[in-house]
Amino acid sequence: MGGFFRMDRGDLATVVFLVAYAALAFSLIGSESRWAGVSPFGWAMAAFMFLAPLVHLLLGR
Amino acid sequence: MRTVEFVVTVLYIVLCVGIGIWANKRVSNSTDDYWVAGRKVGTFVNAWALMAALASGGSVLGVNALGFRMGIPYVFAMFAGAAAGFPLAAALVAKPLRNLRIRTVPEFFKLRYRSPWVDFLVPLIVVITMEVYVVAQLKAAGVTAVYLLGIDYNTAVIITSVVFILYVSIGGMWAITLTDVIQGVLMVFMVLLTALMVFSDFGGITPVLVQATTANPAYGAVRAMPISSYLGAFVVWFIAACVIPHLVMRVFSTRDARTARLSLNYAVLIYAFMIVFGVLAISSVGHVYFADLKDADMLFLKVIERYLPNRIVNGLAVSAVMAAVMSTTDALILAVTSAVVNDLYVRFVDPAAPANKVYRLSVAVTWIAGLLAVFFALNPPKLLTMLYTAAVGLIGSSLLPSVVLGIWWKRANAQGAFASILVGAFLYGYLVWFTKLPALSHILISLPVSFAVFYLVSSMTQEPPRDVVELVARAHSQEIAG
Repeated sequence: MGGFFRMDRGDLATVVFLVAYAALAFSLIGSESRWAGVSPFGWAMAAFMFLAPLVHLLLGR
Repeated sequence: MRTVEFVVTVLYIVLCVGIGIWANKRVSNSTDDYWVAGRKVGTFVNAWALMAALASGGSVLGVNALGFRMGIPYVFAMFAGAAAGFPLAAALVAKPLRNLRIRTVPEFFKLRYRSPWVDFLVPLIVVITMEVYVVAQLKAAGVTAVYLLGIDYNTAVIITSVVFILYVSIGGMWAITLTDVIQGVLMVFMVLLTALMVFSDFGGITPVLVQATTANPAYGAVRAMPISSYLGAFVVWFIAACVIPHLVMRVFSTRDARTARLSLNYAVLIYAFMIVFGVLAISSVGHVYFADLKDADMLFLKVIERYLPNRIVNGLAVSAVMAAVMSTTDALILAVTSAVVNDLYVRFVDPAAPANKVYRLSVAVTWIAGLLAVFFALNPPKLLTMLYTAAVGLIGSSLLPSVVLGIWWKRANAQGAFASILVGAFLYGYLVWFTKLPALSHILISLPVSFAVFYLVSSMTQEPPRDVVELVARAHSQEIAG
C-alpha cells in the first residue's frame, strides 16, 4: 500500500514547472544587473505571476 | 466628514447588505447553500470571487506599502508566491477535494484520518489563524475611512464589521460569492485606473521606474532583507492556496472539478494584472512624490488623491478598499464559523442537529467571531502584514503535509497527521516567538520538519483503513456521491 496515487501528466508537469521556475528565479537573486532599475529577480517574479496560471491552463486538463 | 465620498460608500454598503438579504432566502433551510452556495457556482463568477477573496486589504493598501518600503523584488517574491500557489493548488488538491463533496477543510481531515484528536485540533488552528487575518483586514478598512471619509478609526472599524457580519450571517456563501464579484471588479478597476493615470503622467512604465530607482536605488534591488526572508515570503504564500480555508472553500462551491481548476487559474491572471501594474505604478510614484511618507500604508490613498481628485472617484476608492477588506474578511469569517459550527459543534456536541438549528447557530457564531475581531482591531498590533503572513505560515506548517500527503500518499495515516500538525504548529510558533530568524523565514525550517514527521510517523505506525484509501482513490477520478 506504500505507493502514491498517480498524478495526471499535465498536473505533474505544472508542479515541476512551478518548482523549477521558482528555483531558476531565486538563482538570479544575487545578480547585480538592472533592467529599468529593477533586478532580474524582481522581473522574474513579476513574470511568474502571469506564467504560472497560463502554464497550468495549457498543460492541465 | 466628506459628504460625497460618504454617500458613495454608503450606497456601496447598502448594495452589499441588500445582496445578503436576497441570499438569505436561498440559504436558511440548506446547509449546503449556506457553506458552499449549493455547489452551483460557475467558472466566471468563481474566478472573480476567488480573486476578491485573495486580494485583501493587504493587496490594495499593503502591497503598495510593502513595495514602497521593501522594494519591488521583495513584494513580487511574496505575491508571486500567492499567484503561483493557485495553479499549485489547482494541480495538487482542487480536483480530489471537490470530488470528495466536502464543505470545509476540517471535513477533509475527518474523512481522511478518522481521528477525534485531529478533528479537534484542525478547527482550532483554523479559528486562531483566521481571526488574526481578520484583525489585519479591519485595520486596513479603518485606516482608509479615517483618511478619505474623515470619520474616526473606531467608528470605521465598527461600521465595516457590522456590514460584512450582517451579510455573511444572513446570506452565507451565496452572499459572499455575489458581493465578492462586485468587490473584485471594483478594486481591479480602481487599481488599474490609478496605474494608467500614473503611466500616462510619466509617459510609460519605464520612465516612472527609472525615476523611482534613481531617487532610491535600493527600491529595485535585493537589499531590504536577508535572502532567507525573500524565500520565506515566497514559500508562505506559495503553499497558502492549498490550505487556507477561505480560499479552499471556494473550490468546494464550484459546479464541478473542471470549473474549480479553471477558476483558480483565471483568478490568478486577474490578480497578477492588479498586483504587477499596481506596484509598478503606485509604489514607484511614491518614491518620486512621497519619498518622506511615514506611514507607507497611506501611499495608495495619497496617489489616488493626487491622480483622481474627483470626489465621487474618491468615494469609489474608499469603496474599493472596503471591498478588498470585506471580500476577504467575509470569507474568513465564514471559515471560522464553519470550523466552530460544522467541525466542532456538529462533530462533537450534536451530530443530529437539524439544518435550521445549524443555520441559527451559524448566525450567532458569525457575530461572535466578527465582534471578537473588532475588539482586537480597535487596538491593533503594528506589523499587520507580517502578522497575517505569519498566521498563514502557521496554518501552512501545520496542515499542508496532512492535506497534500493525505491526497497523494496511500500510506498517510491519522498518527502521522496528528504528529505533523502538532510539530508543525508548535515549531513554527517557537521559531516566530523565541528566535530571531529573519522575518518570514521560519517556514523554511518548520515545513520540512512537519513533512518529515508526517512521513516517519505514518511509516512506523499502522496502515490507514482500506476503505479510506479506496475513497481517496475514487476521488482522484470521479465525484463521490453525497
